[in-house]
Amino acid sequence: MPGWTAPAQPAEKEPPPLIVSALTGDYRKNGAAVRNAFKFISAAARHSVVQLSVDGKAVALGTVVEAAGLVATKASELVPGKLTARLADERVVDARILAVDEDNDLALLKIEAKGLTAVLWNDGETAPGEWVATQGLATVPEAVGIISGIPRKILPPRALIGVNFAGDGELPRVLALAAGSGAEQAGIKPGDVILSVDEKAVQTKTELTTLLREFRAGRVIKLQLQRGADVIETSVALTAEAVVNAAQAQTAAPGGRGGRGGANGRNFTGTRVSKRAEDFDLVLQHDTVLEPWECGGPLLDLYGRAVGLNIARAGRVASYALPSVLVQKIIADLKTRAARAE
Amino acid sequence: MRTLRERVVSAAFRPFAWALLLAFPVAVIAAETPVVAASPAGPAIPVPPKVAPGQRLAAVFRKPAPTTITELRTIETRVKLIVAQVSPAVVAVTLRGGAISGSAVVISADGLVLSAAHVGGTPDRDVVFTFPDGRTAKGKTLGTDHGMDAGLMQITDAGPWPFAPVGDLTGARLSDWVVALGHPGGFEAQRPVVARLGRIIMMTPKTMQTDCIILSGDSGGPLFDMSGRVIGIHSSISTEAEQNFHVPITAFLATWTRLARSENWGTPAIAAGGRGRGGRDAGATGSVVPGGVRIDTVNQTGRAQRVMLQPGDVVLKFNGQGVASPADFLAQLAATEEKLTVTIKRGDRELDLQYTPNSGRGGRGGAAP
Repeated sequence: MPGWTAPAQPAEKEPPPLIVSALTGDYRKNGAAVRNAFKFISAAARHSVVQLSVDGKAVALGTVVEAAGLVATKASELVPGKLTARLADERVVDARILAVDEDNDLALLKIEAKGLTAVLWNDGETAPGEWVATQGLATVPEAVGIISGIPRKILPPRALIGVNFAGDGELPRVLALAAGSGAEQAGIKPGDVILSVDEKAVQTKTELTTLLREFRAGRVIKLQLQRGADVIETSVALTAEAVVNAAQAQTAAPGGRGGRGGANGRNFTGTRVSKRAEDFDLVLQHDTVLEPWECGGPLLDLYGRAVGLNIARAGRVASYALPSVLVQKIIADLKTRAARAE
Repeated sequence: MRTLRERVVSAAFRPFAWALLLAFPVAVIAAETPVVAASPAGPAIPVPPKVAPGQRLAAVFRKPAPTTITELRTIETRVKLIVAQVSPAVVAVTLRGGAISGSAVVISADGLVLSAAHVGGTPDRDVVFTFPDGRTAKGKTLGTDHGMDAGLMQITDAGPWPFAPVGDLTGARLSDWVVALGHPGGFEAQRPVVARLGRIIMMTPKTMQTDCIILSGDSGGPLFDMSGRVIGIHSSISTEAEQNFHVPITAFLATWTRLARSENWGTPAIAAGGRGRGGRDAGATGSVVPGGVRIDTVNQTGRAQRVMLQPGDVVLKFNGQGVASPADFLAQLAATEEKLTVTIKRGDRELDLQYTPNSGRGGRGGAAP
């Protein structure tokens, strides 16, 4: 049988092929050998982390913010069920939600444990290139990475009026309407050219989509259209992208390649993305590869202080953390709210 | 489960793989070389960039892994410096009014730009470059080598432009730390340039693999070594986070004259059915089993079939080295250009399958056991 041989004779003196080996996993950026160098910060910081489970299934990490049992985490991962927290010392205790900040997807929990170690916050500015470690309960971080850029706002999921534009031309000329979309209900017709949005003139498709990007679903906008020789005014309600796409079924959505894409568009590479991965006031983007259930815990610098709290796995290249200053402000608000409620 | 997921995702990814990355230029900080030489006949032809020397780096950069916080801090300081220094030279590239977008890097004050061939497409197309500070500049595509995915561009607006130095791969080796910059997902005004850290995982004359995680929109963007020199251009990815492929800078230097003369040649390797750059499909799927990778399926056209792998084989070694995961093994198998040996267990026998790329069917016809 050509093509394969018995185990090579040890006498074979042929030089090895040029380059075919690969760096073994342990020595890659997130490999065990590299993460092991972070053990010096993990030793203390792991005691400021809890692992949260619902009905025994791990859903998120949590960040200890007060020794008396206050923990902050990512709210949208806390599905209904029995919520428990595992500590670094192996204890498993009950946990309950005190208050939730929907805007930033942050929940404040009370866990049935005292004498905990609150995380140390680093309120300074971060710079691209700084190491960040996502700490779990283990003696080394779950994963490590670097800060990828300057803090920024993450816009809400795209809202659409529900039209496809024609061909390659730059004019925002309507080609087709998505069934059940705001555009259809408003009586927009194929061939119409959109002239302005809320009195603001638009000349190109790009200008138009950039403008629409600022609005959330549900918002009603005023459109001026050119239809033949007529100029028509109408009002259109924006629909969430996912809703439009679902209704549109076979038809491609506007935007397309090169744009931001929706939560689906960015993540064709096998990455599991958090359910809530958009619409945050301010985030630090880092390149750490996280699973959605590794969010909620502290994001540490090389001093073992938290520069933020992991709030979302957002795609192949990005995880987001709420910066420490913002987290502390939200926690203060949530404490006030929880106290009022009790 | 895992295999199924990989297969499905991989199929969905293919159309994107080639379209992902953006243009990459390099900004040269030091070289005073004239970048454009007047040619007596016809327009000026850009001369090759002067390769900047590598810098003397701290000991940790030659260690298999950092072991202390101090060493991590040494790496951090270096990476921060590089990102700050070279980011101004990393540009977003758009063609056809935004229909195509990618990344690139400026490598000379007068605006020579390195990118990927699949971003520019063909020579003499109009390009708009957007710098991180928001400035835009007009330009043209020059030569494109589709086989290597190397593309040269030129800013035609008057400079000087920020630029990054070009390196070579003379001292490069596996485990070297590298930084990827670019515009994953496309340009966003509030998110100037996105930095990612990784190490060189694999190198062949045709491609480099790193664990700097890149995405569509990064195509053409630069990969920097720890001397802050451009040593690669982002080209393609596959499903795993650690499968990121870059055009080695040597591809540009070796064919500079053709690129500078706006020649257009080569066939995209990925067109052959792309699992990653270099990127022929190995034509198989596998799963992790104790001691190696079990081959689950072998198609009739990929290299796995030519190597004579069969479903059920357990791959123990590739060229004498253990195999980490199905994805790693298949990427190595697909990308290797030299004679290769796959050590497998078939039934209760251990076998070495040998294969020499481009030698036609089968291996080298070694004696049957």
